[in-house]
Amino acid sequence: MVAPVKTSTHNPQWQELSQHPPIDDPAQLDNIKAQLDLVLLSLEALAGIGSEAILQAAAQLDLESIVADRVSLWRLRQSNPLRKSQGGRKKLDVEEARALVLICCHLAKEYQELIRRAVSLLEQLAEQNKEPHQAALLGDYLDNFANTYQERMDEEAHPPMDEMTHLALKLLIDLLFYSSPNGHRKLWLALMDRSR
Amino acid sequence: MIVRRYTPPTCTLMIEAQDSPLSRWVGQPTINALTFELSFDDPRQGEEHRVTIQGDRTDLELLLEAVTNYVQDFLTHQDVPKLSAVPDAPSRPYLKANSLISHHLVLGHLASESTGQEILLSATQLFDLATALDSYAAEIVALPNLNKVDFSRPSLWGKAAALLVVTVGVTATALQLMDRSQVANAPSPTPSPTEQAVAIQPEALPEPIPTPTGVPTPPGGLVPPTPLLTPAPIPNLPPTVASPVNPPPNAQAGRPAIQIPTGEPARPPANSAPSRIAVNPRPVPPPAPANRVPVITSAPPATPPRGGSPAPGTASGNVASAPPALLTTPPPLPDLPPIASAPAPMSEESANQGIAASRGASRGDRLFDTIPQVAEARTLLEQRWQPQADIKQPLQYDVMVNSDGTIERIRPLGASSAQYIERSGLPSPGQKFVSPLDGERKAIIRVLLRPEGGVETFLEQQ
Repeated sequence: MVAPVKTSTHNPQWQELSQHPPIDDPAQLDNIKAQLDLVLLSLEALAGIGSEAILQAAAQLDLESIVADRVSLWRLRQSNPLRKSQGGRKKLDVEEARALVLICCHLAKEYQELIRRAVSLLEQLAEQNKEPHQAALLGDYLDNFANTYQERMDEEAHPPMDEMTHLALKLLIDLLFYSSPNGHRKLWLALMDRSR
Repeated sequence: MIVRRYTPPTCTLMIEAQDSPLSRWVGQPTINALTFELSFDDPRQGEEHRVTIQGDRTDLELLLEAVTNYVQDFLTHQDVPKLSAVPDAPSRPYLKANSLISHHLVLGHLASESTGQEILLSATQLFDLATALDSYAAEIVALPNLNKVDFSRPSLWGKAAALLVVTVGVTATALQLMDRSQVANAPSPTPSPTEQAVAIQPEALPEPIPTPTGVPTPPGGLVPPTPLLTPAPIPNLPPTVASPVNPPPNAQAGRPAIQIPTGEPARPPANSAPSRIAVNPRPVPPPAPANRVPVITSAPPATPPRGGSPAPGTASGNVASAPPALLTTPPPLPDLPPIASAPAPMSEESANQGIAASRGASRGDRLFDTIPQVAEARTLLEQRWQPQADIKQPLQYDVMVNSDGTIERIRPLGASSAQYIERSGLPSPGQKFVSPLDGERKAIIRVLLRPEGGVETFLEQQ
């Protein structure tokens, strides 16, 4: 039985991801939602990307049928089980997950220079045995990440600050790889493997 | 001579290869005897940190595999220090994690006195290395390598061995029809069929090469995308002799190097296939005269092979290891001797693409079973495939299915997949695999078999 297809996008990367096996395990889907929300969170924290940029990316990728407006986007991101619950959590389906993957990687490509600069700074500071907060770009990123995370996520999901920093830096480096031409494939496979 | 350079900010990957006469027949650049030079030349570091490694195509593909798998592991795991994909063979390159931003590239047999055993890579250097290798993989398509041909044990790989002989024959015919002056070397004395087949270079390929399909044209892409050509029956081959030359170790002076800066990636054109350069693994010896070879069956199964007895145990199906893009419709050719079998490992497709699904995926309907035959294939193989303690990596196959549901051919992806194909549970070419497809179309179903158990299938192409 083939599931109904919601979108008629001609996006070739979409077509490519469509050929991967489906996700029918709810726990796996939950993990994927959480991870995608975090990837978007890291983009927000680094580049100030808001819902407008995300919706614009959806339009450029011919994914408006899935992410049409701010309400749809909010609902998609609210599906993250780590978020503070406001009742009636939406279920993220596979097509929406695919769309968010493509959007994340599209935005990572757009901001590749900034992401690379941040990672290079991190490398320099590590070489000098300095803390990442000592560079303004990284300091702002880490602060934004932590504040937004704490604001949005359920308090039970709040990690200690050093783990939060590690998470933020790991996501930053992941973004660099997602900004490559086949980043969407890397992200999708990472989501699949991570959620098993 | 073909030269490619991939130049991300902190490394330079240069590929050199020789044009193959097959280019005229396959309609796209076809190259022989690829060599590479990879320089780690981060401008942020002094000259004393510059390191260069060199090797051939196999070395490059081992490196590509190691980096791609490591990067994917890095992205999958939160805890980096656990990463260290030590390969089965100690001479293969691999990577191990030091920290989030520090990784060791252990060179294995690629090491030299000047390089040392390991190279330390930062996160950006690793990213650049992966980008350069991905760009190479997107451009270069390898012709099949065959292990040593075993005449004593015919198997379902006979057709694959014949394919290489066909390739030789196509080359020979091309040279026969072209001006002799274009042949770089004089042909060597015609060997016996046995010698000829064994002399076709054996070169075990590494595990699946992450060469993704559908990858966007590399930045500053060199050639416009060309459609993949569908294979056609090659009934006969010429008796004449041809011998592509070994390439010189270095590029000829004056040949332009084509730079491919890997800065901004290009937006992929919609519904286009990336242009591919086919690689001949090594020069092949001339075919023997007046002999016959099994037909490489890419025609519908009802068409019987012409010009020679097929390998025993096979029907009209074919085990081919050349991508369809490399076969066109040649003119009628004389026959070549029958070839028995050999595994035909193929290192071409993306491991990333293949290793996609969840470990514990349940049976039943799945949203991505775009045609029912994908699920049927999975169901069948789940009954046959058992966990394998001695296999370390997933086995992957592209299975081309005829419109009647029988297998036309199976293409193993990587040396392990070829080596263990008889454990896969896949039916032989010509045998029924799934229910008939709608219309007269064929389908390519990707099969992934996990060593710990578990089968994944998805539609590659229809």
